[in-house]
Formats: sequence, structure tokens, C-alpha cells
Amino acid sequence: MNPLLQAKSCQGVPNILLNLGQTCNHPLLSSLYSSSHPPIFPAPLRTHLPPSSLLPTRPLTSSTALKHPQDSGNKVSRRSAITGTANITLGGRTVIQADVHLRGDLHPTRAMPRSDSSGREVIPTSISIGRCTVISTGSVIKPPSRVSRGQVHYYPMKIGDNVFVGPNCSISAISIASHVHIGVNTTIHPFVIIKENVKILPNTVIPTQMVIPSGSVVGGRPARVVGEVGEGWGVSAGGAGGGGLGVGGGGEKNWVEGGDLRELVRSIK
Amino acid sequence: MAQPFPYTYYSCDCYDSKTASIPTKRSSQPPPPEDEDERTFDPRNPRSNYSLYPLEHLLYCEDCQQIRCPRCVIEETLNWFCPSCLFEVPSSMIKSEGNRCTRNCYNCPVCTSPMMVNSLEPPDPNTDDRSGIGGPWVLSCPYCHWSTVDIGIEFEKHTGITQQLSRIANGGKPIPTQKERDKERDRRKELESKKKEREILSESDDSPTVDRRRVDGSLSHEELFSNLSAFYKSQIASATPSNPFSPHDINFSSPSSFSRIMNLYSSTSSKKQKQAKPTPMREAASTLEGLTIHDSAADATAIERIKKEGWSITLSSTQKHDQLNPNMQFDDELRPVATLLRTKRGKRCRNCRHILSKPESKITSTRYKIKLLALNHIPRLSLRALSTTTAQQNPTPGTSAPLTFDYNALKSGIPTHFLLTLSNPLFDPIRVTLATPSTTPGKIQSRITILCPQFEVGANTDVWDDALSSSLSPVKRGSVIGPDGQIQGGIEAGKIWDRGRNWTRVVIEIVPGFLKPVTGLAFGGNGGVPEEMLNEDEDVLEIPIFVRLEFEADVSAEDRGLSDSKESEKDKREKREEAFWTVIGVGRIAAI
Repeated sequence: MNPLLQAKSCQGVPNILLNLGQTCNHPLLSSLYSSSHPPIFPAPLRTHLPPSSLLPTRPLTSSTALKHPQDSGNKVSRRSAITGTANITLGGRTVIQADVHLRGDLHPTRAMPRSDSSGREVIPTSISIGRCTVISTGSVIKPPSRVSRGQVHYYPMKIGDNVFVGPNCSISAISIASHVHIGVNTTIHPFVIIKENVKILPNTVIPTQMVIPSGSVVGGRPARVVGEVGEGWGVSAGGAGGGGLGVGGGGEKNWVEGGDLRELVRSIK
Repeated sequence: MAQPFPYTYYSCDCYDSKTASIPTKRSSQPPPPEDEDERTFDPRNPRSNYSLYPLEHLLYCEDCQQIRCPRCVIEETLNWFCPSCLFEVPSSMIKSEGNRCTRNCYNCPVCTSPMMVNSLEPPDPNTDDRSGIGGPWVLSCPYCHWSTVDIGIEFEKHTGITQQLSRIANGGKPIPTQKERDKERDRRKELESKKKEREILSESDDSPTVDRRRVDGSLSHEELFSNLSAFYKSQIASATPSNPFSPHDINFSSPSSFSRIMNLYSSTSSKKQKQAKPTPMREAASTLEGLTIHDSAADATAIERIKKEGWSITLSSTQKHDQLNPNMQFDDELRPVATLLRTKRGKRCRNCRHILSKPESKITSTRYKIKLLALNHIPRLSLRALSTTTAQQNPTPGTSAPLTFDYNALKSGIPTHFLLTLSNPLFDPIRVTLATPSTTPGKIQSRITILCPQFEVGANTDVWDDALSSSLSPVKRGSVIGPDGQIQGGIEAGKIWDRGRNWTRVVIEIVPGFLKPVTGLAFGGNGGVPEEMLNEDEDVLEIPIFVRLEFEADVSAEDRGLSDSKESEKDKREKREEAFWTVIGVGRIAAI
């Protein structure tokens, strides 16, 4: 972890956007925040932007007026459609771009097996997204559902850290592990499990309940494993320095698929 | 795996080194090994396909000091697992059961998507517990909606699908087990031999042929195989005499022991005798022995069936290949395909056998015990457009230019500037020499000029060195750009464009070639014509670049240990050199 970044994100009032009911489930972050601040901080969701952040420098996000860059580092576009905010957890430094639809309102309705002893109402989580994950424009994240005894039941879905979801994807996976790269126009059907270090090629359709083992390259309709990612997948350029400030001068992009997306998150204004 | 433009592939020379040794035998090989230095790498050569890899797929052998591609490593299997249920399968199971998952993992024979076990019975909304859902069960494909109902198979339980499936043939008939099959064969054999006796007596051969026909039609692939294997087993057993060295065979007058003794004493004649010895084995002569006689009637019925029901009932070649029985013709013969297992593999250098990568053996772990990446040993090259128009509008290079540039529509004949960035993963500064043919090989000749082919790239030192230095002197990065934001001065032959802690950028000028031979009126409206003359992907502009590095590195610990005679040698540095070809895919040339 970059000490400068830590110091930067610590100052000011930390606040986990959209995370009204639950504490952050990332041990690192929660320990970071809960030490001196209350974990639950009712943040106003549609805060106005400071004028400086209204000046986008990249065409990608030029139409994207982002919500107030929170101290948790989450960047959520104002033009994203997020429903059921109470049921959504973002890990921090997560980017939700414009026209992304997060269906947090589709949460598990079944009674929780373990009720909170303190009597506090347990708000079910429907979508939890890890750190440094980028959800690109036009993607829809919808928790998977199953009809059981004549009723539709939704299941909580989990997306790990450093996951890149390309534009115009539709995702209903039950679990996506960390360091997964999802190409554009991908459809992931309900209850798919994607393990770590997986690359999903553009325009893929992953059928229901498919399990994708770690290190696979997946493509096609229906998806099948078409290859393996190399050993060096996700290792950032410039070797040991990876992710540092100086690497910013690298090539076309200063982040690698499946690698640490912190640089990408930073570059998205 | 298609990569978006611009991409960089690295060539591993393992292939070259092999061809260099072959030409002595083959005179037809055009490039003799001595003019290797003259030869330029042709990315369009069909052979190049097998030597080009993205950097992350390459490993690096520190002992050989060479790049190792997937073709010049030895793989060793650490363990087997099912990619669907992620269960590890012990290697003893692999030997006995084969390389397919024996749990409930099946793939759709039509579309390969993983199949689900579903109940045919709609769940009763009144019952509260899950166990209320009852069979019969089927395997069904969630993607193409094919299910085992289509081939007439239903299961009683939702677990142990493999065992159940092995007992049910298509249509629901039970498949006899191996033991039952063997018994049945013996019974038939006896029957046949009895019949033959009777035939000899009665001299009528009508009934056995009819009987054989009937047997023929019902023979499945497995039955045929078991018949044949049983036949060959019996043949081998009868052909090879009982072990000549066995203690039971002590009869000196037996022919086998006699021949053995002869062999022992006369080494010269033994070879001849050995060649003459094996009597040719009899081939299968009846269906019970695994003989299949081609039946033209079966073909006729198949043709009739296709006439009636159309092509849609036949299988595609990939569907056929997925099946265990390769002789299938129609979709009602399909069987669900058990999921193929996957392996976790370690890699060794083919030359020195050192381990290059070794993942942790646990299935769930994604970490590596050893991983020697080329990424950490050879510089990464990356290309980016520096289109002059946008760059002039933008005083700061690299903000919006790369996003607006369309790599899929390079303009023919217009000089375009690109920035080539080399980032150095080594902890020592490197001197780089780049070389490229002046025109790209292939039908479309594009002109390439590297404006600064020789330069240095800084060492990959601590990140914070750069952070601190750049905060002190922020001008450093943009030093080439004049104060007025004009960058014309930057594009200058022999000067680097930009440099940072461990990276350097140089400008490459590329004049994309014309898709069709340039005549005077190339800019006319007849743009659609040239593509017909070109092969697929011929309009992709790929430039081969030869990269040569020189650097001084610490003598590696092992080498030092061997030659450690004086203490002063500890900080001895050795000069090293590294050279390889890369291919940079710049983009696609737009049709005019």
C-alpha cells in the first residue's frame, strides 16, 4: 500500500458512500476508518459537485458529472441509476460510471438466519463491490434471482477488488472474484461464479451457473474457456515499481488488465 | 487472442535456433544461418505466428538469460481438477477413470454450456421443505435448452449422474455392465459353437446369418469395443507362450524353452529367429470377436432419414468430436459430455531444467511459489499515437490525443507520428538500440522511421526517488516542449521525446502504405475494390522492431560464488546484452 495515498484518503471525514446500513466489509478499510470515526455515516447521496471537479479532461467522462468524490475514494457518476442504495456496499476507490444501473433494490427477502442480537434491523446486502473496481458506462448489475415455491428470490452478489467491467455489460453473477477483466458487451447470466484472474473477451455470453476457474480466458456464445492467461497477467509494467507515481508516464495506459486498477481509478475524473 | 490496437508482441527465438540447426540437412532452406544478422523478422511469415507472444505470456530463465515462451518450456502437471466443480482429482483416479469429471459435471453436447440437473416435476408450492421436490430428474442446458429428455433419458436421483448415465442408453434402455457383457458374450459364443456343430450336421446356413444381422444392428460402440478387446486379449494370451522364464515351464523338451536356450547361446542367429517367430495373429472373424461388417442398408436408411427430416438432425463436426463415439450421425445419438478436467502446471526451462514457474498446488490458491517473468527482465514497449493536429491544440501531450485517435483507420500516405515508450524493469540503466526495416514487409508497404534509435532508459529505482524528484522539478517531463506549447521542436531526429524515472519515449514516424498500388488517381471514389485483392488482415499495419539492450549488472550471486576468490570481486559488474524482435501492431489502414 502506498503510504502517501493512505495518508491522503485518511484526512477529512471518511464516508462510505451508499453504505448506510453496514460497515465496510473490507478489513483494511474498515480498520482504517473505524478507528477514529463512526462506521456508519449517512452521506447525502446527491451532493453537488465542487466547481473544480466539473471540468472533465477526458472525453470518456466528459458527459459524466461525477458525484462528490468521497473520501472513501468512490467515484459515482451522477448519471448512474442506483436503486436500493442501502443494500449496496462499495469498497472504496470504486468507480461507477454514467448510465450504470445497480439494482440494489432486488435484495434477499428471505428472513436472515442469524438475526442481530442488538435488535437493530439488519439490512440485507444485495450488491457488494470491492476496492478499485470500475464499472463502465451502460452496464447493468442485477442480483441473480430464482423462482422458488412460486416466489422470486434474489441472492446477494459479490464483486471483488480490481475488477474491470467493460461498457454495456449485463451482469447477474453470484460471485466475481478479484482481478477479473470483463470485456465490452458481455452478458453474464445468473449464478455464474467467476474466480480470480479471469479475462472475459468482449461480446461473451456466459450461461447460467457456469463456473469459471481462475486463470482462464473465456469467450464465445455460449462462453467456453478458450485459453489461459499468462503467468505475467496482471503484473503491472515497469516491474517492481508497479502502480507508483512514476509509472504514470508509461505507454498507452498505465494500468494492466487484471492488475491493480488504482491508476485507472485515479485517471477517471 | 485478439488484442486491441496498438499491441506489442515479443518474439521468442527458440524457434529460430531450431531452424538454424536443421538447414544442414535440408538444402531447400532459403536463409542460411550465417546471414542471420541481415535477416529481418517478418511478422507476416506464417511461422512467426508461433514465435510471437504478448509479454505477459513469456517467462525468463535467469540461468540461460533468455526469454522462454510456452514453446520452450517443459510443463509438469501438479494436479488435476474439474473446472466446473473445482474438485481436485487424484492422479490414481485419472489413470483408472480417465480425464473427465466423474461427479455431476456435464456439458451440453449441442452448445458446450455446462448442464444443470433439473426436476421434471414442477415443485409443489404447498410443501415447505426443499426435499419435497422429487424426480424424475434430467440434465438440461440452460443456454440452448437441450435436455436429456430429447434423447429419452431420465434419472431417478439428482446425484451420481455419472453412474446413472453409464447404465442408461439413449431411449431409456439399460446398458449392460462390463460383467454382464462378458457373460453374454460367452453365452453367445457357446451358442454359436453349438450352432456350428448343428450346421455341420444339418448343412443349412440360413439361420446364423439372420441371427448375425440382428446382432449387428444393436451393437453399441462400447459393446463393440469390449468384444474386440476381449478377442485381442485372448489372442495375445494364446499367441505368446507361457512366460519362458516361469518356474512352471521346466520341461526342457518344450519348444519355448528350447528356443530360449538357443537364443542364449547363438546371438547371431537369434535375430532371424525372432523375426520368424511371431505367427501373425488372427483378425476378428465374427461380431462376437468385434468384427463389424459394413452394412450398406444402414447407409441407405440414414440417407432416407436425412431426406425425410432434413439436415438439422445431423451433427456438426465439432459436436461429433466432443462425443466419445466419433461415428455418430444424428442428434438422437448424442450423449451429455462429461466435463474435461484441467491441470495446474509448473514450468521448467527446456535447456537447463530450472523451474520457471510453479503455482501453489492448492486448487483454490492463485499464488505462485516461483514465477520468473519476462516482464521483470526485458523492457516493455508500448506505442501511442501522437497525432500532430491534436497535439498542437493540446499543449500537454498525452491527455486526450490517444483517445481521439482511431487506430482502426490509419490514413494511407500521411506521415503519422507515434510515441514508442520503453519502460525498464531492471535495476540498472540500459542502453537501447532499436532497428526496423525501412518499409514493412508484406503487400502493403508502409514506411517507418524511428527518429531516435539509440537512447538510454533509466534504472527501475525506488518509486519515491521519482516522486520526490518530479515534485522538485516538475518541468522535467515536458522539457522538450517549448514554453509556448509548441512541440514542433520536439519531433527532431536523434532526440528523445520524453523521459522519466525508468522510461524513455521516442518518436516513430509511420507513413501507412496504400491498400492498392498507387496510381495517379488513388484518391478517387472507388474505395471498395482493393479489399478484394487483399487477404484477411493484410491491411493491419504491423512493424517489426529489433531491440538490443546493453547494461551492466551485478554478477549474479551464483556465478560469484563459483569464482569467489577475492573479496574485491563482490561489487564486480558484468556487461550484459540482450536482443530480441518485437512486433508492434499499430492499427488498421483505412480504405480510402
